[in-house]
Amino acid sequence: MEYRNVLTTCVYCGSGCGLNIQVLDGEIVGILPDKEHPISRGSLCIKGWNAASFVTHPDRLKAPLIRRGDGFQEATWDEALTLVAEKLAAIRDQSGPDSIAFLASAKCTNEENYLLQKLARAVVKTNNIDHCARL
Amino acid sequence: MSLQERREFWQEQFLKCIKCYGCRNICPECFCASCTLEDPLWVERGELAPPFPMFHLIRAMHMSSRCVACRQCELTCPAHIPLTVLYDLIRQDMETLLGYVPGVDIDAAPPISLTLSDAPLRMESD
Repeated sequence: MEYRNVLTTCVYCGSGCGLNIQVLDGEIVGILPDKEHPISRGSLCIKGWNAASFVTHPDRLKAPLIRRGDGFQEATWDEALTLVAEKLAAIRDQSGPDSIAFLASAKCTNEENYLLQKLARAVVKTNNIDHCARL
Repeated sequence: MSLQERREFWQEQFLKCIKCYGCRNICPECFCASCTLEDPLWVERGELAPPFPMFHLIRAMHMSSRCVACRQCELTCPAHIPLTVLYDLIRQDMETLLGYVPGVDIDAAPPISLTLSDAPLRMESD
């Protein structure tokens, strides 16, 4: 029997509370708040207490899906990202950079969100960038 | 403190509850397979703060013969509700009325898990 506490950050909002995921023999069995975390100081909200419930959820998407006709088809990341890049480039060329907006996510790290705004401003050349809390 | 003042004090405290279930989740003495606090018969769903005083008094009642005042619930509570004070008051009643102090004598059976005929209650998992 192997038990580990995996220290990580809650993915549900921008507060970034600290929590330990309890792992027993490779399976998630629970969550414990991180008492030494400077933000959450050992507390969690109900979402934090259940922050790992999606990890092995059967509805979780494990591959990108591309809409074809009436349904979705599984695709590789290369296919999906190429398609998105092509479409975004086509929309930008046709309707101008400000026809596109980017919405960043609280589930990402600061660094990932920095990269998204870089993509918006430096590559697509629009200032239309906001975060998911204002969706 | 008068009864009225006490009631108002706890009403104010429980009003801060965000119903994260942290007090129950972190409790080393909570181990039931199913929890009354998640039973809509006892605790209404989708209400914030949970209707006074059911949520907290059900838990306090269930803790009466278990709580050893480790304070984990109080420390994890995002709303800073002084839960140990509440559980300790009930623990004192338990001691005065039934002569039982949780966590002291390993052989003493907690009164709340005994039936009137002194036969131990069956656990749900049995």
